[in-house]
Amino acid sequence: MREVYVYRAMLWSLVLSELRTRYKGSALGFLWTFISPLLTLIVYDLVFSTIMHVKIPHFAVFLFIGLLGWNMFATAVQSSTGVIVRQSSLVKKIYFPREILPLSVVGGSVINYLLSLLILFPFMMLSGFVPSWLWAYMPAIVLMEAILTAGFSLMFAAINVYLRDLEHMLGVFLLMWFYLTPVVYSLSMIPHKYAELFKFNPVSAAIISYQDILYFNEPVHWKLFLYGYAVSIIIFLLGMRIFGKLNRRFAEEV
Amino acid sequence: MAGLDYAVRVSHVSKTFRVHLERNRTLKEKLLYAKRAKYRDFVALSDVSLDIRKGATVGLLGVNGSGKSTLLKLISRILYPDNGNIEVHGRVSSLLELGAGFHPDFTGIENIFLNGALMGLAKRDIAAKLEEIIDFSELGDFIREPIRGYSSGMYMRLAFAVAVAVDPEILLIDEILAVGDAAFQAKCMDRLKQLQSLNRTIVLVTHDTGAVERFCDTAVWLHDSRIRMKGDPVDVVRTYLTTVFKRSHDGTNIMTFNRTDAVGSEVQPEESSLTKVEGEEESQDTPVKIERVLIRRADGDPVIRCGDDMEIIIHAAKRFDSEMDLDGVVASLQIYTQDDTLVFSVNTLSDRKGKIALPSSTAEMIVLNLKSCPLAGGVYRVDVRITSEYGEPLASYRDSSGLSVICVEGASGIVNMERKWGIKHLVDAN
Repeated sequence: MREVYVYRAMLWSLVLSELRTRYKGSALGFLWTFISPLLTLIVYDLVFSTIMHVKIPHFAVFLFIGLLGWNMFATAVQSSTGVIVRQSSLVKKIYFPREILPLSVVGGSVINYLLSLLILFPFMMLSGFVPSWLWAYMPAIVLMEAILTAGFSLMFAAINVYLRDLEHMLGVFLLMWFYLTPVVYSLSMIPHKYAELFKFNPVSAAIISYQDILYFNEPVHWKLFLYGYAVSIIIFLLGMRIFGKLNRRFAEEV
Repeated sequence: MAGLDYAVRVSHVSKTFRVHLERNRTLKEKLLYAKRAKYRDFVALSDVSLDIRKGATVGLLGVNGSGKSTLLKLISRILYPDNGNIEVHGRVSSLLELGAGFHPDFTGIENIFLNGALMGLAKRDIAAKLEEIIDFSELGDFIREPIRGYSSGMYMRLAFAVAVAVDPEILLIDEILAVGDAAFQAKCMDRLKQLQSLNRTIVLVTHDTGAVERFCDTAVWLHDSRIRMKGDPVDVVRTYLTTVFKRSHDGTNIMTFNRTDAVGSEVQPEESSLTKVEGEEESQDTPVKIERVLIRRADGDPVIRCGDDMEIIIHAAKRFDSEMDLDGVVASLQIYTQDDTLVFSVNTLSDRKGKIALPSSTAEMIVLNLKSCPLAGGVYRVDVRITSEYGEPLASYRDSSGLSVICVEGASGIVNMERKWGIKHLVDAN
């Protein structure tokens, strides 16, 4: 971890080049950071509120809050899983702490999330939400989700080098995970006997916390919040551990 | 502390690569064939120990596949050893492969920052050296272009400029200088000498044995995954060349996967060929075909030593599909050093031999006899050309290591002059 700090300049430049090259060559360029969640939002809103009549007032706002939080996690995990293999030319040719690669993907994803807040907040205000002091919780929740995302990213990135199926399985796996996370529905809609079960999902802790402070205008639920932090840190340490064990043969396996 | 006198300490390091014959990478295959994974182990390094003092310049020699690059990758921590231990004291900058750490879509300048960042440098440190790096690379306006359009020489200029600018304590270089032009190579050598005088540690993999003799203070010869010899560069180079060329001509240099003593070679697809690279024609669609050029001692022995009489045999013939009428041609021969300095050039016209007839059957060949080879020890490039009497090119052939001269007395440079050392007394006027 100390070495990752020494190489922070590299981490930062990889994050920037990731952001820069992501939309390179597309006509709308960086605007896609804003357009693609908006388009997803329209689709989900259409399906769940117009067709399926989900009874949540201001459903689009509710959905948008959860969707952005979910995207930060899911896109980073999906992209990290193949990152060692994609960057094999770096891995094979130069030395650097390999943790940098998945961490840079996570960094890019967090920055993307922060940028997308630039449309979430105006969107909320247009829908009649007023800014509140509770929004000051945001950095703490983003940090929690970033730690969790980094943990899973490190873990999957390392395993994928040896078991390339992971990248393909992950698509379906993440889709299931998405529906087990209260993004398109609220926790209160889950039958009571399962509700506690849903809270075990560490991604839920972050998503529910976003919804609490932004949508319900309530402080975070401390028990859930602390549980979320504890699990995130455990997953992160586990991810570092697994990555550290597996990274010695990366240069030969990719 | 004694340990601090060393920049690199390699002790009893072994590295085995697993070469998968059929790779079971997917889950299905892993489950189905778990019991019979198809791979073989190849030993790239076997119990290698090497201590490199701070400020030393070490040349690594060895035929392809002997483990040189693996050793450099282990020192730079790209690979990890299976057994043994490697200590590195000081910041390492490595030039192992061309284009490593460059992004093809970025401009030269952006890549300088990227490459610097990859070495763990902060942006402002690189910004402070930007001017110096650009000047050194001599890339001019190209520095603002995306590097996907760069030639390999231009890549090398940029990579070298960054690598030396970061003021490394330990510099590892793997044979990439060879792609630069002669002037830039000389500039690189100057820069390396400057680093030497600053007491920096340099480890160099090269096939230019002359450079090892001139520049390194220790040479290490790796052979079949082990250190075969290390010590004074002149001694090591001499033994290395004698042994390797002998083996090459005997045909014992063919790389094998399964050496019975469990000592394998580093397997890289581009290297799994004969170690003695044959020369080749520069173009296939010429009217005349140069089959091969054989350079040997006049008595037929393949090993040429300083002062030997040489025989150069050119197997050339008209191509079957050529319609050209060739009644007489001009043959020429050039010998160059590895850094493209012309040493010797001759052709049948200038030798007043005029046109010569092209051999009409495989039993005939063009022969050039050269008396007592005056070249110093080293590897030379040989170019053979066949033109019409008006200079129209008909065929050209190049063998980048066509002529290897072994100099037992140990003169270095280009020529080996006959010499005698002695002591002269001034005759007293009184």
